[in-house]
Amino acid sequence: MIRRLLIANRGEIAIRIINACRELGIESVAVYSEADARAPHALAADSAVAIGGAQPSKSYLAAPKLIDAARSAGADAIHPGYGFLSENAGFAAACSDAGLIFVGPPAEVIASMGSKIEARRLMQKAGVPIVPGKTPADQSDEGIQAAIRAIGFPVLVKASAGGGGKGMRRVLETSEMAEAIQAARREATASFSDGTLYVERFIEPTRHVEVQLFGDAYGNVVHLFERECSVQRRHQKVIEESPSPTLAPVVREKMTSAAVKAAQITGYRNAGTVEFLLEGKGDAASFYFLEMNTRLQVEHPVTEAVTGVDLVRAQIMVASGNRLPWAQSDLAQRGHAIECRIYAENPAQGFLPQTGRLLLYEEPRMPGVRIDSGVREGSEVTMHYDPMLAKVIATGENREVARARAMAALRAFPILGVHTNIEFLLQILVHERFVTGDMDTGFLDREGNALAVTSPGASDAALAVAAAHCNGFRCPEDTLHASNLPSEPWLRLQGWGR
Amino acid sequence: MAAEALILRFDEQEVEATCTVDTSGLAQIRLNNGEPLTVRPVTSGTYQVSQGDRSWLVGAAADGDRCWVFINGQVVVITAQEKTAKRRPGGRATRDGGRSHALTVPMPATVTKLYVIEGQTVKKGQPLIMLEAMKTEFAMNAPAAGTIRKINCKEREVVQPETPLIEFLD
Repeated sequence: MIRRLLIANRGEIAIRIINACRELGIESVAVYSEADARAPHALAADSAVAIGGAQPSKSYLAAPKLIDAARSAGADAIHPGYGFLSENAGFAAACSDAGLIFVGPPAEVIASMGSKIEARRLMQKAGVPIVPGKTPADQSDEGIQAAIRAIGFPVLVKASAGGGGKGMRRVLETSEMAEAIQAARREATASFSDGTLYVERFIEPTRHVEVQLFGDAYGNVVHLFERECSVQRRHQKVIEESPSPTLAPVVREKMTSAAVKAAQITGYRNAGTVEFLLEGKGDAASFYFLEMNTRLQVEHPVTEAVTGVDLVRAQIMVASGNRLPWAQSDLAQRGHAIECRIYAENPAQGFLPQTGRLLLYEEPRMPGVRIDSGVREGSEVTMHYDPMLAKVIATGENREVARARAMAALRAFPILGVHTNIEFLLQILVHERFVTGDMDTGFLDREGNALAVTSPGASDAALAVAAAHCNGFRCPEDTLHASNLPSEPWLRLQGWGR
Repeated sequence: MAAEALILRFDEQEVEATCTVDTSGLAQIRLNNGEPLTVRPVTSGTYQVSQGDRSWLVGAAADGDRCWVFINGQVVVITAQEKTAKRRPGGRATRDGGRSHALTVPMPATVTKLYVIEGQTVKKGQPLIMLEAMKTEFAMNAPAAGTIRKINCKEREVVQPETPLIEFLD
């Protein structure tokens, strides 16, 4: 069994993993950049190691520093979280070479699924439907353009080494080709150091439905059902839910079977997700393999909520050599969960990313609401890292209850000091298309700007509070200050020795 | 806390607020001499506001003379100044009566595309420039209808915060 786990990540996912360690009686080791010295994740772990400058390339992406940190801290395993090096086959291999357990699939599996081109080839071999597309050997602008013409408009030009929605551009007609190819190549090179592109038919309207998978070292593979992730803005997910509100049972059956086949043909181990594009409705909907993510996903909590499992705990157990904790027949979906991602961005200003200090940050506490966060009041939101502040996961016995809970939680979640997308999330949750579950991946891109307009003016209540607050009217000394971190006294204890 | 008069500004509007503390220690706020609202602190950043039989839970945090306020998921930034303080409208007033604005970025970014030229007339919300930072592209739009006075950047240039990228007259 793993005894001491180093978390090669930061923010909310690092805290998530640290919590799982605590429950399992495992020691946790955090790593922190100069910008994160007082960050919640660094203070929450049993011990923490400084790993370098604020820029990710100098810290969270610096594989040798991470492995050195694991060695010096006496860790026997590394959990990569999501993003950063989680899908970097070289890092996974380096961990094994250093005698460290990598909590995730084997390096070869990460490598084969990491090339979207190779993944498509394997899926085709396994008989899993893939989005019609082409990978041109000639990667020049002319070569890509020829591939586009062969498939026919509209198409998506995508980065082979890509993921997370980066490095892709839609092309609807000839005049858009040159710009799109160059932009996709630029973003791919910047984000993944690899400008290789492939072209796929652009399917619209489409839904993005993904299946959670889990495998162990003994050849067992299960699926943990699906998540609906169609509420996306420029390919970035904003709201996810489980179950998918409009997936027909017969399609669910075919899709989950295809996902399990995909996992089996790759020799998959630990947590992973197969993403599908859905076209059409009801029993006649067709689905196509989009990509396989060889890591834990941001939206894993909605699966945990409706299946009643702990995916991070299972990741650590399976990485320690245990068998899968569940058989397929043990797993079922019950109730409904919706996750809203809170970003430090200003929708009213074209979703401009925000930087600044969180002057006020108070998580709501109510039944059926889980908050996963990496920040606290006083945290600095900087330009170095992803601007996601927190995830609000609302669970209920049905979708309506979950939706109402999500709205109540967002309305009671004061975050001040930087603009956030909270009001934008509320506008989506009340939108007719969301209420009926009739979403498609183009919805937010079409209507997002209309939903991003803030209501004009300030209400009397807001003005009255501004007046009182600015006049120095505060709560008297004896009123208890609401603590943002439920375990704050424990964190203060663990701050010793550093 | 004395009966302080404050001028509250938000968007393009102004409201005068007077505050007194009543015998129960609660703040009574009158906006433009209207019916008072009662404000009671709950925690160090949140307040309960009531007027008649309606009440709201509101969060507030001050940042210099700006007060961030959270109410029901909405955030508004209100500037509060003592009534006697000199007026400071947003943007620098110019001789022809229009206001001059400068667009800046909060972090270093690369200019990927300029959509306008000097002298061009634009509508409110019209995209002016596309920038790339943190591996994401984002556009900045015109804050109001007006004219582009000057452009101080070029495509493919890396720009810093504080630099006025586009000067704009409304």
